[in-house]
Amino acid sequence: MLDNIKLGQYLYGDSWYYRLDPRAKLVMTSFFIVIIFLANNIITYIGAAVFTLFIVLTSGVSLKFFYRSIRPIFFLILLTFLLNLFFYRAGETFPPISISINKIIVGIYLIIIISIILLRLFKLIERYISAKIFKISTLVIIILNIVIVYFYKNEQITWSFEWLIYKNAVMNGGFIILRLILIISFSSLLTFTTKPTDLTLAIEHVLSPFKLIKLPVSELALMITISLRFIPTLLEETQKILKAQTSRGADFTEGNLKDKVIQIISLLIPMFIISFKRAEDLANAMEARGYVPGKKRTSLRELKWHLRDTFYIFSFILLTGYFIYFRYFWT
Amino acid sequence: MGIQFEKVNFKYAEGSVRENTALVNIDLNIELGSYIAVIGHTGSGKSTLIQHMNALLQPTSGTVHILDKKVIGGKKNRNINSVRRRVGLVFQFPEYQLFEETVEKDIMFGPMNFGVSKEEAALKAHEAIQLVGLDEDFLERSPLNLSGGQMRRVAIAGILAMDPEILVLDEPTAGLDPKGQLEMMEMFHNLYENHQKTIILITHDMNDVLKYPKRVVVMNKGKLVFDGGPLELFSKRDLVKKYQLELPDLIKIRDEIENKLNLTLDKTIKNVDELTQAIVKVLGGESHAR
Repeated sequence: MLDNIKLGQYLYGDSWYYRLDPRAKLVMTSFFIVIIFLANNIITYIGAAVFTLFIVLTSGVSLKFFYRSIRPIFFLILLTFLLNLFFYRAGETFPPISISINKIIVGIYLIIIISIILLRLFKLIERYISAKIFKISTLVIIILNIVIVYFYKNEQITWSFEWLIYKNAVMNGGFIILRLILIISFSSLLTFTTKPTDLTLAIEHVLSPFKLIKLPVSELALMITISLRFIPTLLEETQKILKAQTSRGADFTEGNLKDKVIQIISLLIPMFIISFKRAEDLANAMEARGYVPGKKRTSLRELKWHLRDTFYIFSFILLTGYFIYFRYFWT
Repeated sequence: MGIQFEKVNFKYAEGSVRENTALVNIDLNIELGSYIAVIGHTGSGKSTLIQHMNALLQPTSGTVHILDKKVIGGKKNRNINSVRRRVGLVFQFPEYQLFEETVEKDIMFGPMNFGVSKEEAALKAHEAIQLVGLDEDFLERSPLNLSGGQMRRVAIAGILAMDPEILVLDEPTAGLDPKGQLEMMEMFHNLYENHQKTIILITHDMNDVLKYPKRVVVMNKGKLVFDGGPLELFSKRDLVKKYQLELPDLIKIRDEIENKLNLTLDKTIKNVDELTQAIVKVLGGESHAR
């Protein structure tokens, strides 16, 4: 049941991107998410896309992993595009498309077929469900067509209207999709190429100015590290308890609400007990090894700033300049 | 009509990067009323195998017949929940699955999930707590304030209360003191002998393998590599060595005596008394052993 949860996305590998300082990667990834909003026309978007593509292709991470991180929001992307298509109304339009009742029926049928194919492709539904939908929709369209032909035997179909698609709507929709894909690619790249421990170390460094206002930055970083470390362990424990309670007849997928609540409790209470026990053990182990909160600690891994990190940051400044130039000063 | 495995294969996380083959072409027939030990090195697929026995895991390919139900690999099998009442699975460290306010309620959780009425479930709880050798006073206590051994007994009582025909145990004695281990194993033996339960036991303790089951199954790297009697297994030293199994203490002692005193002893001895008698017989004396 919990098999598909992917945590700790780090992929083993080596490339210039892997070797970059995690601080540079972290800050520049956030920076990129900000400056991408400067892009507003074809030239700036092409620049952003080429820049990202170059980094992605040279990062040594296989493209299929990027595809996997974009896949979950595929429908969000599609929805945004469609909303744009329907509700954006300004500027020039494409030649109008006339729509009539049988075109709509055929259209809906085609959409159903295409979505079945897509859903099957992404393995989101079972084979027998798709077969069932296919059969039913085919049957319905045949019946509908017979009905329409019967009723409108000789006369022309009167009901129809013209649909206008705005050029800017298509363009804007495209931009939004591209922006989402670029942002996701960049942030996935960060987690793909940076070990969680390095990432927390980077967070600690980036947040270190806040130490001045007495924010316990190192403790926060340690908390993040510990949480990340224990997520897989606790997931494993959850899976075990889940199986144990399933063996005792608990059904976490079916049944009415009252049963479900009891069954969730049968999962939650053991998990609470296990996590508290683990927390206590860990606290004792830390104390036994001399951990004192607030005391200055050294780190096993020291971050080192290289020339390549400076170059990396410089490339982003150039990109920002490019965006600003083509946004404000170019016509 | 017990549990039959037919050409069962199982892969974890099929189709992903972490795909991991856990069972390879398993054929196994377990009759009702038998006592079987499943042994093998860590990661050999024992736990995966037993999770197929109550359909917690379903095969990637092949078929598992569980009592009158059929679990077919690669298909969506419906209505298999009921089989979990009849095949009780006790996981490793089952004490972590306790969650109710009182021991009684916790034991009743299983039966009531399978539609037993409250009164009847309470009755079952009373029976089950005695089966695992605890006083009925325990029923009113909180399961979270018991000792480790008691908690484990309560957890096992929770499975027994469902009145399963087949009891599958994953290292039930792990982490108990020697006395607790012995009591636990005797309890399962009692269930096998006097309550006609089918027992399937995963264990690392070869002394138990020699003592209790009639049949032992060895797993190695997802494959079933041996199926036969315990004495037969321990007489095949090449297998014992190949699959990194240990020998029971008794057989080690017998070997040692044979080597030191240059004797040949009976190969079928199963307990200390038989060993003593065998030595006495070979030395030509009279037995004083009880």
